[in-house]
Amino acid sequence: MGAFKFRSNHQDFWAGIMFLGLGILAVYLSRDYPLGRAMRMGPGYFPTYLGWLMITVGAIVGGRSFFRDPTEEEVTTKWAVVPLALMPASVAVFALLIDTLGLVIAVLSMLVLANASIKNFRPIEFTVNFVVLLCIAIFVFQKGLGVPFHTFWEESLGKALGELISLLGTPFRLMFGS
Amino acid sequence: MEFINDIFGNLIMGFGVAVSLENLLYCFVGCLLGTLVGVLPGIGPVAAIALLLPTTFSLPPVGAMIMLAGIYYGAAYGGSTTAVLVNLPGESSSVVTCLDGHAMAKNGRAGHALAVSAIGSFFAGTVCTLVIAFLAPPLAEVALKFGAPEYFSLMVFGLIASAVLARGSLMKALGMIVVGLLFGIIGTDVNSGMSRFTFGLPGLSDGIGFVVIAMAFFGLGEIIKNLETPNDQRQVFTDKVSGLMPRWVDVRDSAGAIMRGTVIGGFFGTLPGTGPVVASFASYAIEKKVAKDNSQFGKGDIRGVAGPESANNAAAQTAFIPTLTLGIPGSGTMALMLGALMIQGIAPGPQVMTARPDLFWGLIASMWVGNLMLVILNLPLIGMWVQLLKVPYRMLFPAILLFMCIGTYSLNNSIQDPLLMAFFGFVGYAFMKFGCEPAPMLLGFILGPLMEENLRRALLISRGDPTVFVTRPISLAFLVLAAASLLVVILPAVRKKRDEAFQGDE
Repeated sequence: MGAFKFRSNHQDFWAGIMFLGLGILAVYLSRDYPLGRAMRMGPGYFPTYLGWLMITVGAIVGGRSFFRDPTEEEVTTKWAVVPLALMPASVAVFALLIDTLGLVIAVLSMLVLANASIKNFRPIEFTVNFVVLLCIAIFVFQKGLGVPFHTFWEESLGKALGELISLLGTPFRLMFGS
Repeated sequence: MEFINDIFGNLIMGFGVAVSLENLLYCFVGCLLGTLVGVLPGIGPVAAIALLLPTTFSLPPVGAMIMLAGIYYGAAYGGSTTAVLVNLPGESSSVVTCLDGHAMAKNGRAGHALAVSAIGSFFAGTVCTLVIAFLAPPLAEVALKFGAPEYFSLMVFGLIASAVLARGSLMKALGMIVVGLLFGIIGTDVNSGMSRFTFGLPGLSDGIGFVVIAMAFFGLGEIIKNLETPNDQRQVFTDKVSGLMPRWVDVRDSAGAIMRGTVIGGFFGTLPGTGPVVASFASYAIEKKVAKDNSQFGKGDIRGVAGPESANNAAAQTAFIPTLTLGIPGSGTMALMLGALMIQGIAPGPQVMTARPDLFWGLIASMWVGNLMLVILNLPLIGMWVQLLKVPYRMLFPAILLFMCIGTYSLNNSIQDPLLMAFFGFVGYAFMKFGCEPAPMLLGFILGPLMEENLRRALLISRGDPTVFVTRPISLAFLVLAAASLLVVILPAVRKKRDEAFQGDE
């Protein structure tokens, strides 16, 4: 299990940074929205003031960390780096494959990634889990509740691929303006 | 007298709705699924409801709410089963149950502990169903007179109270509320039609679904946290559970505890932010004080199970009062219920009772039916739940993960929601590691848009004069309450007590 200690081992410090960051981002983004007046609040009114509130709270929480020694728990706490990378990744892989290659492949890939975080890979358990979960996905969700999954890639692979590419291209469009 | 007649008339009408074959089925499925998820440690009630919420979208509103309510208290029942048998709370409101419940199980009295907790919960559920039926109509009557300033101040009070009573640092809880409010802004502003905080992503123009946020913070974040400790060496109490029939001695010994637990829970449930967790802790503390001989507490005293279990179930029920009558949720789970109402196209608030009496009273009646079902369902099925507990976490979490993927995908049949969930899973885990509780964030997220709207209206009415919040008496009262609850926590003496009350609640 990979784990590392935070350099500044203080929860309050980092919580404050997160709050501050979000607050600054909110205020920054809200510049583009008309503020309006109190009587006729514009779309920027509420977010701007919330952003400042967030900055205030962040400053207090973060500032507090300089006056309090980190607790034992804060010093020894470890981040579950491997699961932190693998769990969201497995969700993302499911999402990226479901419309193109279909349910079977998506579920399989997701399970492989999820299981990669476990020591001692157990092939039998994995197979049982895969088969059971796939059956639930097909019979309960696809057939029973009518979630429109493709089982395989037979249908509209091209269309789905096109959508996927356009979604993946979003960061570039954002960067270079469209 | 007429008032009472009205209520019974309404209750009978509600039972008419609740015992229709269809709704009984929804209630049953809800209770069963809820217990199932509640039994599994490592997945809390918020994640459970979020996980199962998409399956209710296709149901009619009444059926959907009944099923969700079933999931909600099913999870509460299931949580205590795990607490007794595995010494792991299935959810945080069962933390105290572990103390004496598991001690009883070790002494070979698991059956008695489970039976008493079922009886206590059922009694509390019955009483609190009646309490809701009596309290909700007058409260809704008052709430109908609220204008925008009152609502805004009420929300401020609700949010602050939830921060005050949340576990851990007050400032960080307040911070998480603001985080939730900010997340709630993402999307198109209803008034100006302007996209806010969407980063140019067309998919964000409708905002982030609350199911996505809830699953990310409570489901995904929780899974990552559970995987921090690689080996799941759970001590499942595998001996077969016997003595499920309660003994007369047990009932006699625990009757007082059950009644006190019901009162305590019923009271705490109505307060924003407290709910089942605080109620169960308070009940345990009081039982320990009241008992003449409290030497057995922690070693398997039945009162230590009966009191908290009744209290957490009572609080779970009465938590519906502010949610249904004011449209102000007091906890993460209630925030989800409220969100579910909105998805069904019902604007939450005092008008629900008059506009949709079938929904309101059907739901209340179904609470009692659900409680009855759980008693009948739970005790005979204990064997099955025990088997389920033997499934190791390494097989369980991929399943939860997959259901979260499918659940978020099915919200809009779009891959954007699972991707968003993956992203917010990171954020959620980081906040957790920095000691920030996710529940206040969820409350802020749900209430954010409502708060902005009411602020806008209030300031419009007052022609931009912010003193409107302090010149209207009811609004002022809420703000004073909010300030008072903040002050109280900041006072060092109370703060110490609060920390004590949350000790061991991990």
